[in-house]
Amino acid sequence: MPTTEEWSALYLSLRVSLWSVMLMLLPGIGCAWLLARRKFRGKLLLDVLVHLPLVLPPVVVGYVLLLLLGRRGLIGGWLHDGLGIDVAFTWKAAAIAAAVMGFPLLVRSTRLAIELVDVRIEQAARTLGSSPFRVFFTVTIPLSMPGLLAGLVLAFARSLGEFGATITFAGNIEGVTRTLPVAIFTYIQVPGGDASAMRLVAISIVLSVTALIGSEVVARRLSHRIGTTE
Amino acid sequence: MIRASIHLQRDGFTLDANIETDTHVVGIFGPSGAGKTTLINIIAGLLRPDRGSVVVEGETLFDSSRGIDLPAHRRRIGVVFQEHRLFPHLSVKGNLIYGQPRPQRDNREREFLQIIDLLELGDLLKRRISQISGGERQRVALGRALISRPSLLLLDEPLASLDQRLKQQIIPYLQRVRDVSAIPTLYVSHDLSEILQLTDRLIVLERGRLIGQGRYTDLVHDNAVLVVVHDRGMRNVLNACVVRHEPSDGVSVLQLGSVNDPVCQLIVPQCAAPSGATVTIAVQPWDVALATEPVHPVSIQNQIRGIVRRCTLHESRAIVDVDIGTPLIVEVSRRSAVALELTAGRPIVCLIKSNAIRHIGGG
Repeated sequence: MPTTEEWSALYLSLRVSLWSVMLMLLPGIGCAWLLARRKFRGKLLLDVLVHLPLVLPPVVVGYVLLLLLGRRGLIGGWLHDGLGIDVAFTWKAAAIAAAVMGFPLLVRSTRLAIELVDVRIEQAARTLGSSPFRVFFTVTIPLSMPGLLAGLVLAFARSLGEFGATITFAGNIEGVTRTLPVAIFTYIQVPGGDASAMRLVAISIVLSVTALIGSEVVARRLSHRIGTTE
Repeated sequence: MIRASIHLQRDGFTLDANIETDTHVVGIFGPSGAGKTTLINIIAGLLRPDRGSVVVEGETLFDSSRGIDLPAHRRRIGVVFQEHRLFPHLSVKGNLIYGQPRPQRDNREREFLQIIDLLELGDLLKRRISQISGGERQRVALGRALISRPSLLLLDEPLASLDQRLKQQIIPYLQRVRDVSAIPTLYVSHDLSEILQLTDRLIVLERGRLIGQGRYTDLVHDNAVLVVVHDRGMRNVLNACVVRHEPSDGVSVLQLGSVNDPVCQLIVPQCAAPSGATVTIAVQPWDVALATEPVHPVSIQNQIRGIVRRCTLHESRAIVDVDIGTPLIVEVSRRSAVALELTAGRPIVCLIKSNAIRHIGGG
């Protein structure tokens, strides 16, 4: 059976990942919609920015976050002095790091789903007196739900596995920022930690597989419901 | 009443039209590429013209010179598109009530039920869109537009995606809507006989230009309109009532006009409609011959007396509008028209072979 320390790593990971997904949900849908449906100056720049975490070494992302949100960072300094909030090296930092790293996966998947929604159906909704805002929530989002959901699961799984940015920005503090991957890394480093590492590896696998299967099942049901498959 | 003055230029296509309607249902006819759908999208607010204005029932929806451009969702214009464009994630009922106005009116429920009844949608309400047929989908789309209480109804080729048999099944529903509702309607089609089953008021477009608007029987005298209409379903669409069948001869006897206002009798190939039923028949103008006196003996079954209302000469043909109690458009050669001295007021006999009369709907 896993030890208290191991359970705490699992619990922390789930909490961090859930928060990370919640953090990115609204900006993610917003970015996806902008990229899918709007033409504007700087669209390419936004596209590149969104995708950057996918190709940058995670350590770099973590370091940039540290520069921005660390106690002496651009935003972090203001947060510390003005509001007394410290972000770096807390579980919040882990959630933010995971959100930034998972963000491109959510945006990519949602963007694709929104692009596939027939604009003509949205037009029909508008002729029925629905404002663009209402059309978005009653037509666009429901019709892109399978893709949105897939993106959320991917981002969640990515958050569970986030290591490089987390350890750089949030550190490796037991019970605070030692998430599953960080804990596994730590156990591998210490003599006699192999058994613990193996148990956490097993938990990681079960978690990821469950998430993927769950999302697939839900996506299929949704697709059937919205009639994309008959 | 709809007034629209529109100018729009898009990659090689120019739409330039001033239209004005004052009747309940007006058909917009033109070959594909004439700009019919573009016009509809502009009126609905889905496409912005370069300049012009759109006024519906006294309300200015668009006016480029005054900077007015009401967004589509505030125009209260119901549209039925060629593709049904129903919401696949909602049930039939969910689709129908999507555009229903907020419950400020008590008769909301009653109105909903009336439309369900009118379009016979009661059995479909719980189904998903993927579970209903093409014809049913268009009926739901029509119901959805009506339930949104539009001040103008635009029907953009609503039957074009259906096969001939299904088309004829939907037309009676369109006729019912026309007869029951007072909503001004523009009916777009590239099939003239489809339009003529709903109205004789036309707007004719070709290559982005308006080439005529008014009553069909007046428009066909115009050469530009005639050229467009001639090979695209030009015909007389008439309503008739079945008087009796004569199975031994394989014919049916019809009464043109309504029961209270009989026009004349016609012999047609036997139809399946029961006696007393109302049917729609079509006669092509060139299937009618004209004579100054009844002809005997002759194989032609129908000889109908009428009076020439108007005759116009065109390149090789003449278009004659004969009043037989209802207007009948006849095409004869220019030479015959001259020889018979077909001028307004002249009594004439229309000869129609019974086999040239086609039963196209009803019954």
